[in-house]
Amino acid sequence: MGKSSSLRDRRLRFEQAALPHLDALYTSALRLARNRDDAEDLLQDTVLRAYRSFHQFSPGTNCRAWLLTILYNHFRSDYRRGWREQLANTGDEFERELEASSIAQDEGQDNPEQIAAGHSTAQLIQKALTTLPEEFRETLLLVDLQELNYQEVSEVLAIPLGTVKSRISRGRTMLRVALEKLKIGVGKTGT
Amino acid sequence: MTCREYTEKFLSAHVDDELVGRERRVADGHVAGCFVCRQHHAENRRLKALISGHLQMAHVPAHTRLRINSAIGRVSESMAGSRYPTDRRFGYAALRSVFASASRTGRMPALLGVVASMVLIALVTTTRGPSPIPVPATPAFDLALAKFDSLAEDFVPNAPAESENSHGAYYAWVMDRDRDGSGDESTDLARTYREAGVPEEVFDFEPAGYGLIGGQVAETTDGRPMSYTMYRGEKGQILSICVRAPEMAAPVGARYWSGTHTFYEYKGHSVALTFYPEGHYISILVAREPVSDLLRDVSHAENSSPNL
Repeated sequence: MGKSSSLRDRRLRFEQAALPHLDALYTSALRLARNRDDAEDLLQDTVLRAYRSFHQFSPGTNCRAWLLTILYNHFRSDYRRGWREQLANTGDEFERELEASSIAQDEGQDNPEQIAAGHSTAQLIQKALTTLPEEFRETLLLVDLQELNYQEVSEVLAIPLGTVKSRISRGRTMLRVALEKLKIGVGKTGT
Repeated sequence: MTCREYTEKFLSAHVDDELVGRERRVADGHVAGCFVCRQHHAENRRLKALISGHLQMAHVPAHTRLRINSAIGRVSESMAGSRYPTDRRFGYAALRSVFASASRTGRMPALLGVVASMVLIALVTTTRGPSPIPVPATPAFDLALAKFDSLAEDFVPNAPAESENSHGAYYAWVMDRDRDGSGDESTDLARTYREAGVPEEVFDFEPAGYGLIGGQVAETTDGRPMSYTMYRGEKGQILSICVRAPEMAAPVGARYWSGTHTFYEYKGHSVALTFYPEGHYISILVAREPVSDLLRDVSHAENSSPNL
């Protein structure tokens, strides 16, 4: 009776803490796996791993960061090798799919010229991001889209804090240049 | 602090509010007094806002959410079933001793009978699983239950009713039924739903003792098409409601999962929730029969129905 109630309580607490972050996990899973079927499998595996080790989660800390750490660890240890082999074939196709997918919010009106040419600001940002080396892109997105702090990113990516800082700094510089090439200005300061 | 030092070492962390204490004060002070670095800072903030403002999270498909929910349920059950490792080891040792003794004394047949009975009892009790989490108040379920009660005695199909079916009730049909001569009431109704843009969900509950009474195509107050399908039998009625509900997520507390269906016990009713990814439709089946019966009826109907 007591143990059954404890399991119910565990599940309830897990669902309340973790399930609100499912979309965030799926977004990262899509970027890692690069196709929807594998991303959904990666997502499910991650959620189940998290559920089994939920006793290790510290209440009051960032549950999204904890879940993303599990997702990245799982991807690095169990999936990466097999999936890397697919990248050469599916990369371009997936980037096109991403541009058209729900990840790009089609509401931008910052650049009338590009909008008229059929590109939304979101699609252009997506396009600019794809020109960044993967390690810079994923670090930047963990901060700006997933809203993790540097320490959390350091744990998710298993890299030193200093590396996170330099990737963010260089990633933003590269992104600004890429956006300017696409005529999306963020301000001129003449660096 | 020089401009170069600020830009190379502090700018991004400053923009991301990662600086604290002295570093924060020095960076704030530098930006306040340096026009160029202030511009850099503003530019990087706009860049950050561009990403957070224009990119959004991908949405997990409804069927995947359901699959994950179901998988969590299975893990939960397996965790509940593996809680007593030491007791199980003790039980194994004890059983081995009893079997050895029975073998020596020639009482093995009687012992096997007892063991078979115990296994049967264990199977019956364990497949029921642990008691579920209480289902939270779910407005969609409340509406479905209210509709179930209000339509219990007063369900009138709104598509043209041409003839009486074997249950003495009218069913919905479409105008070209007689032209191709190939339809029956369930396929006709499915076609009606397809033309109305709602899922073609029509179950064959005949083996379970529920006849198809008919279907209603309706609209929600904000103009979304929806459908009601009524089945009736000696055990009562089953009402199926299909409506577009992209915001709907499966509530916790499900009792069973089967395929894409999730089954709940809710306020004295049995409810089956199904997500149709295409068009973000959901289906809610409501019945008064026990939820395990609804699970069985839906599973049988799904295996036999050509429309699902």
